[in-house]
Amino acid sequence: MKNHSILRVEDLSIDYIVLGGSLKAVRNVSFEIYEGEVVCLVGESGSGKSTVGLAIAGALPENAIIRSGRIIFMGKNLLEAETRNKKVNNIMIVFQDPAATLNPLFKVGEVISDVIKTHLQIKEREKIKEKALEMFRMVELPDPTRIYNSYPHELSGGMLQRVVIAIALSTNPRMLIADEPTTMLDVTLQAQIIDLLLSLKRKLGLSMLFITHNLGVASEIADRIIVMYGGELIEEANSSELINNPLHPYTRGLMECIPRTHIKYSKLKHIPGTIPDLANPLKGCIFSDRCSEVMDVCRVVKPPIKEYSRNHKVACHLYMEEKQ
Amino acid sequence: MSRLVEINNLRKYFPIRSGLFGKIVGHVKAVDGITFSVGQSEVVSLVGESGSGKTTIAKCLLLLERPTSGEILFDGYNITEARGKEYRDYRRSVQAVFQNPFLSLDPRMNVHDIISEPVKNHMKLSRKELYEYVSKLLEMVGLDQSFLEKFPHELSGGQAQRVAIARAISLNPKLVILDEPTSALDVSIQAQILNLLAELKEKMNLSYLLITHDLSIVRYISDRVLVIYLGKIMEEAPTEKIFKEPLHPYTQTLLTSVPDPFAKDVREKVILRGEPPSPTNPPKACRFHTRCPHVMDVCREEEPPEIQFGEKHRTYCWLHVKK
Repeated sequence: MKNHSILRVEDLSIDYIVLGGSLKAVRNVSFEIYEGEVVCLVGESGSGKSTVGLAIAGALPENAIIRSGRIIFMGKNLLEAETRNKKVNNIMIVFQDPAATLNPLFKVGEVISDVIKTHLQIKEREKIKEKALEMFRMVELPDPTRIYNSYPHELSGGMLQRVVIAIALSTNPRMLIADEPTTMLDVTLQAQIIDLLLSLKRKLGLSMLFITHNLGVASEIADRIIVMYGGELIEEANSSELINNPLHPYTRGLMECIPRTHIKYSKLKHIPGTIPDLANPLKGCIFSDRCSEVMDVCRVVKPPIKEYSRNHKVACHLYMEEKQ
Repeated sequence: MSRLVEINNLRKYFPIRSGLFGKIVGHVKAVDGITFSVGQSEVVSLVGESGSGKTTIAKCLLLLERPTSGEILFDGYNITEARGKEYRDYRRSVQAVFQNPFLSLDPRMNVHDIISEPVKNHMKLSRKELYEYVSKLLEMVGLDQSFLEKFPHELSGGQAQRVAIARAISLNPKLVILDEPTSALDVSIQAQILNLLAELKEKMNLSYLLITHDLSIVRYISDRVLVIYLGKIMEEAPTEKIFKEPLHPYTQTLLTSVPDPFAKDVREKVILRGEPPSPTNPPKACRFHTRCPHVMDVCREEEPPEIQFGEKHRTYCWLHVKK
């Protein structure tokens, strides 16, 4: 891994304007992605992980307002107006449901040709088709010519997700944002797509922000894992460090919730309660009302995210005292 | 353990129609000769990918689809021929919880009405008794009375699934069919729901038929597992045996496909190539041979026989046939 930062998110806060107020969906999130690195954002629904992804891709819905922060991609702040239009080639995003991403009225070949024509400025029809077929081959789709002439409903979920990845990569992006790309797929196809993304990363030196709610998936693909909860970043570490030595009570709880395949337990652990209300985030630590190790200080003071050991940051009062 | 449900050689073919007069041009063989049983207070899991026919089996059991052939015996009587009292009893004894609670709960009914609908149909209760009965059910699934007046859109996914479970157990059923009950939920909520289901099973002496593509949740709750592929059983075994000694190559790949952060070093990953073939025209002989990593000549020519391995463990694979 090169130690060259490709994307830096600084102090990002995003609100959603909704009926009767605003939801503070993302609050003061900062992180960095290095060139050729896969970073996983892990969190439950409502943790703000997708909002961060959309903000980086410049695809936030209209009711979202960026309250503060900068997103620096290859040295330029994406949130400034003049850079906004230029970045499209370099960051691409893949969503959860490929069937909803593709227009059912167009053959997938037409969709990818359109993207290639606009972004790569290729005019000759033959060359466009050649490039499209090459992309289909790259994502290991069988029989590319048949796929080229198919409508989305003629392809299965796993194939559609490959098509969408091919479209995203056809513009030769530097970075891919994958928002739960395997959640709708069966486990066997999920394993295939993860395998494909990893081989593409090696082949193209692609940096990736992979968004998922599944720590198991994250551990298979990520170099580094960032855990989000209630719109805040609560823990960040190298993949194996986070899996073997989770610090934050929420991360530890998440790990214990995962049903394991190689050991039998009589009862699964679970985290009581539900995710916090983002219209009025808690005053102290955002996790304090569900935390089993809550202390008085947690309800009053928000713990800042601090380095606990090398490559391991956590936002929790449990680890503040030890360091001081 | 006495048998509650017995399914014998169940087949369900969906006709494919084409042309002006709707001529039948072929069949989708969703379920193609499946035999198994569910015992009293037993949890049986059906595991397979999309298109394996697991949900079609559930629909046949719920009388939402009529089987093409084969029989389903419940407490000794054939349910497809049940009429009158037997029919009403059956409807009451078998309930279901589906994947997406927001699709299975009527958005225009509040929680009280949703749960009391089946109760009103089958029991004669005064309004006050009904209210108390529904409150008690809510308590059993871990929700308090404040939820009675809420509508589905005001609930989180986990809460809505609890309401769906309350509705399913409202008539003291014998069998509850759980069709991917936690696939739409977050991991922490999934654990809550699985624990609730395990608890209710003990309390009410329920049997479950759990349908899922995720083998990892199976281990917590089920006694026996059936792995199906393209409408046929590949392997059947007690849960622990499936995890410890999976015999069929398909079961082995399913097991290693589950992303498990704790088992990374323990196992070797087998990634299946390709997609499941279409059930309209399934592969001849062994149905798995097009994707099987251990395929041999015989697999393409002849259907594998049933092979017994010790008690209650059977598989259909040529690899285990002794020459």
